[in-house]
Amino acid sequence: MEFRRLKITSFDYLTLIVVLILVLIGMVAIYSSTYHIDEGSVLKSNFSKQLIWISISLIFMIAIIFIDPKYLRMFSYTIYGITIFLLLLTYLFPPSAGVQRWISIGSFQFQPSEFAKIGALLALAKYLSEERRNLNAFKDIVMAFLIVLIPFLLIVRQPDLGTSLVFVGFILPVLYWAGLPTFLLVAILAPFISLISAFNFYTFFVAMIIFMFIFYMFRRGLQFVIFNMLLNIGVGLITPIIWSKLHQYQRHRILTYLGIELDIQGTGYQVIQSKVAVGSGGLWGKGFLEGTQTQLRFLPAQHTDFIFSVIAEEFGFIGISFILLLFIFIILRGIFIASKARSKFSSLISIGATTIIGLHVMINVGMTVGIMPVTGIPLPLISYGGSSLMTSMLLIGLIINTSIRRYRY
Amino acid sequence: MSRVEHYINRMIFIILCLLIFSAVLVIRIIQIQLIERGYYLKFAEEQYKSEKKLDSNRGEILDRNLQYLAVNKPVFSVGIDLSKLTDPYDAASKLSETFGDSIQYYFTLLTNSKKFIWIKRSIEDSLTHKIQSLQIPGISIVRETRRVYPEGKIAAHVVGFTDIDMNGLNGIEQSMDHMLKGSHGLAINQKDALGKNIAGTSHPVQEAKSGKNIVLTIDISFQRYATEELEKTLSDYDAESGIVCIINPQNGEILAMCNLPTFDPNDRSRSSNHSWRNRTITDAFEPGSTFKPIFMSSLLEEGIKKPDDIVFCHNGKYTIYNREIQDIHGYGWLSIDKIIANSSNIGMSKLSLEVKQDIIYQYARDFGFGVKTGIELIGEIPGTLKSTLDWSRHTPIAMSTGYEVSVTALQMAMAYGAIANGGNLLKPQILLADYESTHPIIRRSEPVVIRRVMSTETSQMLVDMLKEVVDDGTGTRAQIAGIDVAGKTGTAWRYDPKLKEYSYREFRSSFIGFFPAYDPEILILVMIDNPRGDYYGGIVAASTFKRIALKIIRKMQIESKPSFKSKIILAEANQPHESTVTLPDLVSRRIDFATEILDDMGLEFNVMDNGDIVISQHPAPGSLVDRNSVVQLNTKSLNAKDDTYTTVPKVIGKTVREALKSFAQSNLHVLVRGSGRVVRQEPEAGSRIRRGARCVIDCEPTMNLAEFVSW
Repeated sequence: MEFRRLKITSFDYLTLIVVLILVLIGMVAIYSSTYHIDEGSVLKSNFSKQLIWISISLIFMIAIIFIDPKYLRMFSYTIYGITIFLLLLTYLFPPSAGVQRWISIGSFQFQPSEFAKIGALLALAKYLSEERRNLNAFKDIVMAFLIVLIPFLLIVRQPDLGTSLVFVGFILPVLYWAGLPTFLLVAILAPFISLISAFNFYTFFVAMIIFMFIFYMFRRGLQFVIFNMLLNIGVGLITPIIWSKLHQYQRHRILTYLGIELDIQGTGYQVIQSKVAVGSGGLWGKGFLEGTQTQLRFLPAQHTDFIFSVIAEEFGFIGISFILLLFIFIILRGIFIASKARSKFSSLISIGATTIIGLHVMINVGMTVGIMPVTGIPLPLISYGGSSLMTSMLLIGLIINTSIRRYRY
Repeated sequence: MSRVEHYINRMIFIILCLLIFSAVLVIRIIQIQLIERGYYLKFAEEQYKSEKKLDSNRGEILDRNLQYLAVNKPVFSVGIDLSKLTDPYDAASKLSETFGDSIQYYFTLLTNSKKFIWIKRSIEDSLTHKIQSLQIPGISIVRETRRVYPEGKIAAHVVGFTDIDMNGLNGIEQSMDHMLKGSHGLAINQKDALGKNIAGTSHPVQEAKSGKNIVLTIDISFQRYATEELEKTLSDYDAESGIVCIINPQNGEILAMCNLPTFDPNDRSRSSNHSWRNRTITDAFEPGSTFKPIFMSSLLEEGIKKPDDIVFCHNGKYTIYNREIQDIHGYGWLSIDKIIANSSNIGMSKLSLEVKQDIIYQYARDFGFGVKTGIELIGEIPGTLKSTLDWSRHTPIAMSTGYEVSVTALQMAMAYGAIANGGNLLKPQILLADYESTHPIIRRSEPVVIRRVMSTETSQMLVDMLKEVVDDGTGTRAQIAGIDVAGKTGTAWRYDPKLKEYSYREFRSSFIGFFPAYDPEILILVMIDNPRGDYYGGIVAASTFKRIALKIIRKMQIESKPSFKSKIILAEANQPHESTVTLPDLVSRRIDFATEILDDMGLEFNVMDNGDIVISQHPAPGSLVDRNSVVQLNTKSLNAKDDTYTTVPKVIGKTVREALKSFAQSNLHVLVRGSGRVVRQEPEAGSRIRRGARCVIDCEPTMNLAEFVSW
């Protein structure tokens, strides 16, 4: 049995404790952000719901830690299939506020797009960990992208731009970790840079010249250079067309990101209120339950997307520095564990889980201080929400799973 | 490349990316949270702070007997939050049905781009239920206060009025606005993102301070008599306008100041604003013959003439400097006092040539002409007294008969006051006292002598002459049986500023008189502008004077008010017999006062309608009634709403502080006599009286150690 070979001393207590501290901080922040001045009762429905979610998530996390990776690997494609199925199911439920993100069973609701991250990660890890994969081969790379592209497209259609971007975000580090040559990484990244630069003719022009130079430096032949240049120029030309077909709110979000604040009540309003919350917190913060932005409800989505601003307002720079340090610890720890993993599959799982968590933290924090678009991405382990918490805990569980098996006995 | 090396290279690259991302975030956070903190703090504060103005109670205005002239009445205003309104057409038609204005009017109003608008202000409270039942989204009914003037037009010019936001616009309301207004309080609240105020935040509240109540020297009964009689005269003689000003010549207090045309301050919209003018102080006119005694004072005081010196009056026609001067009746030789008594223009003109111009000017200036009297009312003008440099040789002659000098009625009244009181020109007083609701009333008015304008002897000579005017001169119609009346008639030509000449068909009749002639208490000025038919001051104005004087004398007889210390010899006809009494004027008194007076007189009474103000009485005021008869008092309520009444709290045995608190809670004013614990209270606890009424408590000090400690 796998269990016998595990020594209790090798259990990754450190990661677990850091995770629990973050969850605890999350509970404090959720309490504050759902604390109404005029009610003031201790038992809040949101607060107690989240307590239940924490308990369930912990159980699942412990469970996943003790599952042998070979079983995980065995059922990777099955799990992937189930999450895709669940994503398809959301289209059968009536949309709420114009989006189809939820599956409701009675009063219980969850977001399959959260779990799809795990499904895609498992499938990708399994696919890339197979011995016959050659990451110089065009076919294998396309297949890897396809694995992620299916849930990506389904989520984009919900529509949930933010979550879908996470899929784009985490595949590259995983591919890179799996052995993708650097020149290909650049070749894959280049179209995205072309896309952003295409909004201005001059930046686009400069980007194209730089790319031509880089592609030439890799010395992969004229064909490689021409193909990539055509691809990038094509992306640059198509972008304006796609732009005109985007949803109004998506465009607003992107424009807000680019610093064009169209109206105070729209997405710009959220960013302004969040910046005011963070800024007015100062070094030490205004104190627990004393934040005016939070308690007077100026801050939007304060227990979900903007919970970081709540902490920034009430506990100040000291408070958020502490949280960021804990997250950076988890990320570094995840990378370290990935490098020491016993199998390639576990290694890829770890690096993928770490990347997903890291991306969430960067995008969410960046959003609250106005340097990332408002995408509706929660802060892992801290934001209110069962699906998000469960996913984060499962990802942590996968990292610890790898961690406790890294020593060979 | 080994597997470990492979991972180390890639690890370094990924960690590098992580560090770059983290550094960007941390720099951004430091920028917002530490460097630009001040800006965001201010931003946060600005959006959650809400400052609410707390309205102060405007002070009330009372007459010298503490009858209300201006009070606050709770009213309701209807406003609407247009952002919540869904169907403006439906709302407009509902409102149109309720208030009567056209649907189009309301539709335009409701499709305004503002967030909040007033639909109707100051509505009757009966309408509020109806509006609530309309169920228009966003509509709200706001409680406000409106100024109400229980005496209406009677003292309109003196009291003035306010706009709908309670800013004084005329009269005492404007001149004493700073005192009546009090100060606004300020409550700093937190408001949430939806603009809702959050209670219980720790910001200090600056309480609103109520304005002071003002007691005027005006006696509303006098004011009413003046108005009634002036109205009668104006309609009898079809005159344009009229002024009656009643003062106490001993202390300069104004007892009545009445102008016609007048207006109802409760409904100004129906009056034109020329009727808002307080003509007594805002209009200057050439006084005519009433100026003669003032001119004469210079001759007497300078010792140029004595009362029994004689002047030849040329039998009614005389020419000085190519200008013919006429008397109505021709006289031959007249003594100085007869010149005044008969108002001889020729006599005065000839006398004027014997005084230096500087002296004439000096006396006129000393009597207060050409300068404002300084009364605390709005719009006073100084009149015109030309500098001697601008005089022609005709000027002294004109001035001796009251032309080429323009005066206000109040200046004239005060000048005659100086003659009446032994030679002192007094400052006119309109404010008797001011007090805060919870404080006792302290008299503030003290006679202010501006200057002595003549010796007592000279004033005595002039009073003799003025008495002669009434006894045996032009003013005989002002005689009152049993009382010495002194006064002077005047019939002046009106100057037509358009034609730049005197109109010889339009006149200004006036009479200024005081009584009792020696040691007078009442001085009445009557001025009637452009009476038709009879126009002599001795007829039109003197008879008006007499009618007003008679009413005043009756009232003073009945009440023998301590404030007047009446020494008036009662007219025989009005003297009460053993079994009969003269009924006092109870109209417009508060019912509790009225019944108290009747109680004191031992008369039975019936109160009709259970209101708080007497609107009429039967038998009429002044009638002689049997001591056993029953007086019927018809009353009305000042406010329809019952909450205008309050129950007097029981305070006997309480400390002054506790008592003041209880009275303040019941919105009652209180006069505290003594200190310590309350031993008596009036009216007694449990009685229903109008809010804002005044109660009296008598206190005596107690020495109770236990309480002393607990205090």
